[in-house]
Amino acid sequence: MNPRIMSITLLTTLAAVGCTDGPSDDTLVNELRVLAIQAEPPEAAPGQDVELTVTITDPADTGAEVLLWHCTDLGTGCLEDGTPHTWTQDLEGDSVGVTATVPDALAAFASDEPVRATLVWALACEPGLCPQIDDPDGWDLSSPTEWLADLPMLGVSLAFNAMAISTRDDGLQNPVIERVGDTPIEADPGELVALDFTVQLDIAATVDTLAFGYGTAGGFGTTEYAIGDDGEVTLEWYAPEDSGAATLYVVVNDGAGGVGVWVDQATVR
Amino acid sequence: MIPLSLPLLFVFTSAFAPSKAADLSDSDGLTQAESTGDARGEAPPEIVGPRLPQVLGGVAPSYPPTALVEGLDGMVLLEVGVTAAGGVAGSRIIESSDPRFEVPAMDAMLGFQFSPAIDAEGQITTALIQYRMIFRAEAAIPVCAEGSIRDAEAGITLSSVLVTAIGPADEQLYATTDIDGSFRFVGLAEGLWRLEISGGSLYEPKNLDINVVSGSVQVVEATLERAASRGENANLTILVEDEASADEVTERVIRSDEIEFLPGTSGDVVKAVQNLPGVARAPSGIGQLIIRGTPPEDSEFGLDGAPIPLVFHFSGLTTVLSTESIDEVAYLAGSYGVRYGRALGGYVDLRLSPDLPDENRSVVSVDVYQAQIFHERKLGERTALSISGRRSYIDSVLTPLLSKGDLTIQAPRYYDGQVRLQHETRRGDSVDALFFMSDDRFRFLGKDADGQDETLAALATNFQKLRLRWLVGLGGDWALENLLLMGPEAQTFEFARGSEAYEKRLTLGVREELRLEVDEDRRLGTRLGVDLLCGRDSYLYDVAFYTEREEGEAWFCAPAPYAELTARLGPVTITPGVRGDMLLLPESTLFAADPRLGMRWVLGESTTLKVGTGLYSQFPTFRELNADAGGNPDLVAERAWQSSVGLERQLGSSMRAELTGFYNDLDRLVVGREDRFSFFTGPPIRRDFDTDPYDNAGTGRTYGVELLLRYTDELTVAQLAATYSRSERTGRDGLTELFEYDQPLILNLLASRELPRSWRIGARARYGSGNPYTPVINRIYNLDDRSWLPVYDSGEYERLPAFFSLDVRVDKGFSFRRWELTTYLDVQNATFYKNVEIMSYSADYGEETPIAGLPVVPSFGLKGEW
Repeated sequence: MNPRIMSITLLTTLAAVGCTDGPSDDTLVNELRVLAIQAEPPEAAPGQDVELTVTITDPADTGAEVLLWHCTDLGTGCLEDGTPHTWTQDLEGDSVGVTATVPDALAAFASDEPVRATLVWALACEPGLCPQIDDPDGWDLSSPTEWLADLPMLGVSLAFNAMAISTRDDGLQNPVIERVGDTPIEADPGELVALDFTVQLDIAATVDTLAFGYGTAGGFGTTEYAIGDDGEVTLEWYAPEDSGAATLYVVVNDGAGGVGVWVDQATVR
Repeated sequence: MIPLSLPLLFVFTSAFAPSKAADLSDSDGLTQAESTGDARGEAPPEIVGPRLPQVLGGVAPSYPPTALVEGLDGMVLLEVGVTAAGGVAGSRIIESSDPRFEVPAMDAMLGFQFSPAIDAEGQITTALIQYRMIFRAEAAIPVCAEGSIRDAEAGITLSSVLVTAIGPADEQLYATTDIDGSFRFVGLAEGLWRLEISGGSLYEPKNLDINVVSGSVQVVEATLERAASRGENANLTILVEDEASADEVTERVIRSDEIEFLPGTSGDVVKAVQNLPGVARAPSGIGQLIIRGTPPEDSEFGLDGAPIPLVFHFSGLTTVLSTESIDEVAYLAGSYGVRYGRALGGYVDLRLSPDLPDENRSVVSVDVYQAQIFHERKLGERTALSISGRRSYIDSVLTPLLSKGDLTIQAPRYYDGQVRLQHETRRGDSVDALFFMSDDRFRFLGKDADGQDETLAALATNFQKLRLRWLVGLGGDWALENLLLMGPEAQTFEFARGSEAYEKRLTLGVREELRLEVDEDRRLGTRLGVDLLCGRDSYLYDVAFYTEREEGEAWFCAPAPYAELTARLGPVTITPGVRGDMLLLPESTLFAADPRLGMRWVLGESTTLKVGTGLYSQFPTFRELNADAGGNPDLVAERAWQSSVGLERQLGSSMRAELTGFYNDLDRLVVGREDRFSFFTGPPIRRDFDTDPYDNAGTGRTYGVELLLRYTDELTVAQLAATYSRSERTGRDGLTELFEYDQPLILNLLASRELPRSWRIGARARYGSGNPYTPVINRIYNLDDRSWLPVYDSGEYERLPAFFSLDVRVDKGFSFRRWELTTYLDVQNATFYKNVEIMSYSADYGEETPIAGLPVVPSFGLKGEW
């Protein structure tokens, strides 16, 4: 956030926005959006295979083409150039997955301390919107902002996160999130539903260990929830006023590169 | 004018030196002449020539007060031209013992009457003689009565008013007020005298009785009421304008008594500055002035030339000083003289009156937002005390409305106060001590785990200042100004989870200035001074999620000597000057030399050409220089070369027009580290941040045309201010962008008219181009911290919708025996026009949301004065 707008926010915006009961608009996902990129394992060594899974919402069911790549840019472009590091797939369901190999070129800075200089990017576009999907090599993937300005905002979603590179044997593992109980999620219109989860963290929980809730309808009470030391967290979902189905997503970030994803369906009576 | 029959008590010696009167010089004595010629050209039969003029009567010159106090005798040798009728055509100084006697001698000589000179042929002729006036302090005619005359309503002094003094024996003496409204009678006999003050066609006459006692001076301060039959008094209005006319090329002076009823200002004299050309509109609720395309931090505010940290409470509703205390406000858009500095932009100087109040006065006013009191009283003949205070209470009304659940929003609250003690010495020097303070606060409160109030976010600004000022008249019209201003100031920011930020400063400012003003008789003037500002700066920025912890503290000193010469060469007045600014810090020493030149050329009776050009420097902040905390100690001062040309013309008796073009070239602007936290200085940056180290790599320019049309008569004030301008900045990357508050077209049209029965109505229409902004055209989702990174349309910009507001005001006055009451209704944006102040976005930048200011700002107020 731009630090210079701090005062403007206080003087003009917060007075108008205030804090209200009800769902946070930021948790409603009603468009094509990349929600999570999970690398398994989240910390890998040069030459090691990594399963990349990208969770994408497509509420309008328009379908999507996905370009996935990783790039380690130390100021001279992607170190991965010249090696396979881009993939294109069509979205099926709510995720796409590829197997990537960490390039040997990254061994130059790999050590037993994890370094998060490798960014994993995912570009999801409605069919035909993004020329980058058809010709990934024809674009500078180390500077996506330069060509993203020419793409429309609606129907295009570009996201990234960083994975860790190291040579240690006991690298970071992804958190695992599970819902407590397996009863179907059903609610009346506007009803507040408490969803309990347990999260198995590979590292001790810190202030950066957070759970984020998203829904294709309704919304969660706040954008982020802290996970307790006991690995438990409760998210509150507000059902929409209209009956129907909704897809709920919960993404856990452990603050060190580990990502956990939970997806389920909800029904509003 | 003293009748010629009054005996002259001064001793005059005659020193005749025949020069042009060749006939007379050739004569070897008086000879009898026979002539029966025309009486106009011939001397009466009983007079024989040649003969030099003889004094028949004259006006006793006024004794210079300072010389009289010193007991100083004086001598002035004049060369006098005597007409054929025996009057004085003119005179000039040949020699004087002290320059203080010169003007009184020449003034008195104008009232002398001579017998005409007679040539050798017995003809009446003109003559050139030398005349020596000797002043003896012990024999000086004592001043018996003196005073000044003012307009009762406006408080301005009135010149050329005839005052007749009628004595106990029905003798009559006459005097007329000078340009400063003063008059004097000397040599009055003891007893009861009546002063009859003529109002002419504009004012009601007034009679006053005084008791003249030997050895004492009767001081008369009279005010005249305006006549019930309104006539053309445009001349008076013009005189008001002249009195408020500026010394600087582009200085515009607003008197507090001129703006009290202007719509949209709530009677705040400083807010009236916003109606002038060259002032862009700041977002609603932000009390800032944007002058000629420069950000608020590039302009300075001063109190009689000493810097004050801010001029508006941060709601922007009102000034931090009571308007009752302020005599006038000088708005210097640019190209001003060397007295002011340390700013790239403009200067707004709040000026308190150095004169003692005429009488005790109290004012109480309340409106929707605040209540204020003011009281001034005389403590003897030469001392006065004034106290004022203000406190807002709009927070009491808004806070319950804005708060929801556990969140309490404490609406802005502010208060300020002043205490001033003035003293005038016997010599006429002015001494005053002023303490003034201001405090603003705005908070968001929540509940902690224990249910106790917890500050979620808060902004506060405050300062406390003590000012001591001593104005000394040194004689010969030299004046010395001694000024000291000191005290702390701070702005602080608190945020949840223990985050905080502050900027604090403790300052000591000193100004010593020696000046000699140019006037009708003096062609050369000068100003020599030192403007010193020292103190300690400290800052802390420890705001989670925004920046790493940053802090710093250092003592600084900024001396600025300056010198200026003013030369009046006929219709042209030229003012060259130079100012040297220094900044001394533990790790850095900066220096800047600013040469400046101003010129006024009176082209005719009603047209003046004004030209100004010069260099204006502004030093980087301590934070930008602090090498221990990411600063660059090698930075130098930012510079602006400002130039302006203006034409001022009086159109008829009631209207005045000013057209000014300006061009400011900026360079060595400090750029870099835009990722750092800072208090509000402008709208959000809509492009990639320049995060490189600080450097003087920025440039820019602002240019434009300003038009001011002003109409004033006894009942009506109307004004049109128009500005067409452009302001650009070029960053380190060489990319030129519009200044964040670039508003190409600004129009302000206002009018106020007095109606019968003490009613007054007024309206103001404002139009301004919307500020530029760079729209977000796409975004990137950072999945690590779940934040959105906007992608801007680099090189392109859009503008917010244009601003429009219609403000209306109605006043009604009531006069009671001992006090007066004014009620008013002031409604800003009476048409409820939705003015977009800033473009905001949803958290994912998917939706553009314009944020509008307050739809309407009504204010109903009462003001009681006695």
